[in-house]
Amino acid sequence: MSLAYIKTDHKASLAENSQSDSAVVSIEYNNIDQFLKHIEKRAFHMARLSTRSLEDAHDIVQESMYKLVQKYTDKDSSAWKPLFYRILNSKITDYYRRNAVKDRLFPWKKTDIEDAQDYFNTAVEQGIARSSEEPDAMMIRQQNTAKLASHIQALARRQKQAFMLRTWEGLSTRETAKAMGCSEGSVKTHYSRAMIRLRSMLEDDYND
Amino acid sequence: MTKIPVTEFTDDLKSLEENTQATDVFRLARSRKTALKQESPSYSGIKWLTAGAFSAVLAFSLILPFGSDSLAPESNIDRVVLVKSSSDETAEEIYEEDFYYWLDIYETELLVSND
Repeated sequence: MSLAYIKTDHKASLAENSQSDSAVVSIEYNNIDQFLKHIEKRAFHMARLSTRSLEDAHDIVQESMYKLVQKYTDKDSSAWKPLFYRILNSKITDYYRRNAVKDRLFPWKKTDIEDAQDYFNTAVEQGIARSSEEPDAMMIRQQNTAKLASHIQALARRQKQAFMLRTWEGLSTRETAKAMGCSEGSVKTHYSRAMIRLRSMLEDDYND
Repeated sequence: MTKIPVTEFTDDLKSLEENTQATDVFRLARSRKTALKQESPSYSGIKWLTAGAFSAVLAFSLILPFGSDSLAPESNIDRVVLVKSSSDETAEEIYEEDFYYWLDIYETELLVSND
């Protein structure tokens, strides 16, 4: 891939950033229970893709929910989402730090990392697809989802966060910046790099 | 080459979310309830640590009675009391009978020499 191509693509991705910002729709939640119910599965998969561990993903989501309820129930419901993802991301960062310390102290003991293929084999076995889809469309979706998820795991941590929050959760650049604790410019950079990387890795699969 | 639209990625990720395993959905619901009630959260890691600590204590308490009697605190106290009482008696006996025998000898010798 040439440098000129990357630059053009980067510009296109940045433009995509501002376009998708306008499409962000905020949902009003009546209470925090409703909010958590809406967000829990996505948060769990984000944590699982980030940690590659089922148990740790559950622990991280549980801790994040607990902290949100403990500290921010009184806040306006529109603030819950960025706050929750801020907590979730800091818990994931803590997880990485703890593992780095563990690896230094006990180099012979490897962290139990879930293999991307194992994760997606179970996902495929379950039949990831929509019931309305035709069998061949279901099959393609299963394969694409498995590949997409394994490539997301391979992204750098910040790129992964920016991509998941923008694409999956549909946060605006500003909300993503709040959730990640960085500037909007950094979010745009991380997001566009993630998009370039994913597109280059998945173009053959998605264009088939 | 056609660029993959973002919506394709979004759709696939939503499929992943919609097809979350039932066991995970159950665990998430339990976590939510725990968070809402603000009960102390249960961690899988802590569960293992607690189980490990408990089994270690249990194993220690099972091994202890057969392993060594010296660690039993009651027997130690008895022994100390025994040693103390016996040493007191000996001291009195020495003082009364044996310890000053040389004084008597010395006095007797002095008397004989004076005579």
